[in-house]
Amino acid sequence: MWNRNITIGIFVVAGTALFTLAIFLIGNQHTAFARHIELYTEFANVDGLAKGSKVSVAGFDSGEVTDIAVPNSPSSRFRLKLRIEQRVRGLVRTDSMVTIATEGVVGDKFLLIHQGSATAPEAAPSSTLPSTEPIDMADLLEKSTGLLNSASGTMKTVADKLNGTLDAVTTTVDNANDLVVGLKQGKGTIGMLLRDETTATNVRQAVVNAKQATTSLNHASGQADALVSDLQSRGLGQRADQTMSNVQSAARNLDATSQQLHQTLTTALGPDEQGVDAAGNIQESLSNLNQATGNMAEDTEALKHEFFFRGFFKHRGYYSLATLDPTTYRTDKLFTNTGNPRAGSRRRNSSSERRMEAKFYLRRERHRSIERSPSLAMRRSKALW
Amino acid sequence: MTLFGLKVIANVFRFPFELDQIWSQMGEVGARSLPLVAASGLALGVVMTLHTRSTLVTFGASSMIPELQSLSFFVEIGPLVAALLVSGRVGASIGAVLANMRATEQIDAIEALSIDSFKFLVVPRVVACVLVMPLLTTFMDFCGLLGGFVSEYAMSHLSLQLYVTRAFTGVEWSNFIPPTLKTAVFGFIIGTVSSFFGYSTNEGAEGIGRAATSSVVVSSLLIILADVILVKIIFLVFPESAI
Repeated sequence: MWNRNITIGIFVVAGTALFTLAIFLIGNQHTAFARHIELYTEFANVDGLAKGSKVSVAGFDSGEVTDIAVPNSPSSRFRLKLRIEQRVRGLVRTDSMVTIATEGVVGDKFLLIHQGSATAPEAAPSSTLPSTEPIDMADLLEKSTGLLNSASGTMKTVADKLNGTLDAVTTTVDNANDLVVGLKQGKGTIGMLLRDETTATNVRQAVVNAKQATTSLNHASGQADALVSDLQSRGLGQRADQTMSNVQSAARNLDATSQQLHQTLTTALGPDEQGVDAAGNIQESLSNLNQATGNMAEDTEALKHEFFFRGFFKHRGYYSLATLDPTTYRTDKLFTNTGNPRAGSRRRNSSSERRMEAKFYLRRERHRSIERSPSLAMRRSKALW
Repeated sequence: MTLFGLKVIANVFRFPFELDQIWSQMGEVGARSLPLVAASGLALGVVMTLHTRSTLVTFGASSMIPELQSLSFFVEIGPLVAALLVSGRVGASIGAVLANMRATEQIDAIEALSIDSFKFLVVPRVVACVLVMPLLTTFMDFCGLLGGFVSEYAMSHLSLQLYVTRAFTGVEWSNFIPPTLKTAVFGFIIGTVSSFFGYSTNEGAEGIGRAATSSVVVSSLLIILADVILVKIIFLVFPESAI
């Protein structure tokens, strides 16, 4: 009796335990006892996906589709509610793309959530993930049919062209065959070359001539080598090097001379102790010379009125710059006399004439200014007195 | 027979519950049927794997063998084969025992003792069949998976852990719990039909044999017919379990 009760008890307990174990294993495979988060995604075409379909995150089974909300209008999309394990939440980012995939060729459909980028934040619970619509097999087949039709047309075109090409090749081969037959029969230039004995003799003679020409050329080459050796023995190369060295030395000397000249010019044209350069000094010297010339004219004018020389000038006659006009200056015999070297040079050289005329005007203006200046007029009156 | 079944249902909830008889019948129906069910499950598991393997290998889907095995046993093979086995062993036993008691006037003697023979003899057997059938079905399922694993291990040296993982990957609770619990209905059919033919016979030794035969044949037929209806009901209640 006790044995029977124990047997029955073991049977009941074992059966119940197996039933519980099966429930646990099934629930464990579907992560029913793990922590989950819920996410959403939307598709225009669910492609046979059903409630309870598996959800894979980066290839790892992580949950299932818990609900599919059917849209109210064609413009809306199916809204899928996903339940995935909490532990894969780090892989699911806001930019994680959701697609519908197939297990193998004949396998079941499942949702595949791709890994998001590391920079994107984690997808929050109840957020909606972006999705990619599955490829419609009907569209794919339609495109494949079009592609096959296009390929068939292309193949037909290629076949026609290949037929034409093969015809051309056949013609070419026939022509080549005719050519070979003609060559074998000794027809044409090549055929005669191959078959005619006279031509062959001529060719042999040409070869002999070519050999002789090669021998002569070889001899000439030897002579050229001897000539080159002779030139090398006379040291032409060393002489050329010496000449080049002399030229370089001369160039260096010339360069040194040029530098010295440049230094001399720089020193000569440089500023003096007062800081005035050569051009300023020359200009000042010319100015002083001009002033001295003016003073000399004044002195000469004063001599005309001096007591001792006044008689001479009156006897010889003279012009006063105060009253002398240019026309008189140009036409008077005193200035046009060929015996007067100054007048003669005026006629021979127009530039000298222009300089003289300029000096004339300068002196006359200076004389007039002296006339207008009280101090100078006084000096002049004193001189006259 | 329908009225007999309704009478059984009505008497189940009536005092006294005859727990000792129920416990005793659970041993008779369940524990003693376990070797038959376990051996059948192992053998069926091995055969199923051998058959499915040759087909799935052709498609390169040999990894689906465990899943196919588990789904086959959990959804249909386990419940149906277990019920048919129990109907063959237990149905014949119940029918023969009750017919023999009727032929030898033991039931009349029980009635003479002011004991409700129906409540004492029929109801515990039916209840025991109802309670034991899901347990036997579970044993059948696991023995089938074990046989499948042994066969698969012999062919491809697949590890037990990977086999279990693959076996339970595609199985939902709705693929296991409703089909397993539907065997309670099969148990009710077995107990009721067998008890009916044994309890209602009025013949002698010949009637005993006829009762035993009728119990097995009718209960098996009703089990298969009920299976069709129950599967339809399960699909209606659990649409995701429809494969």
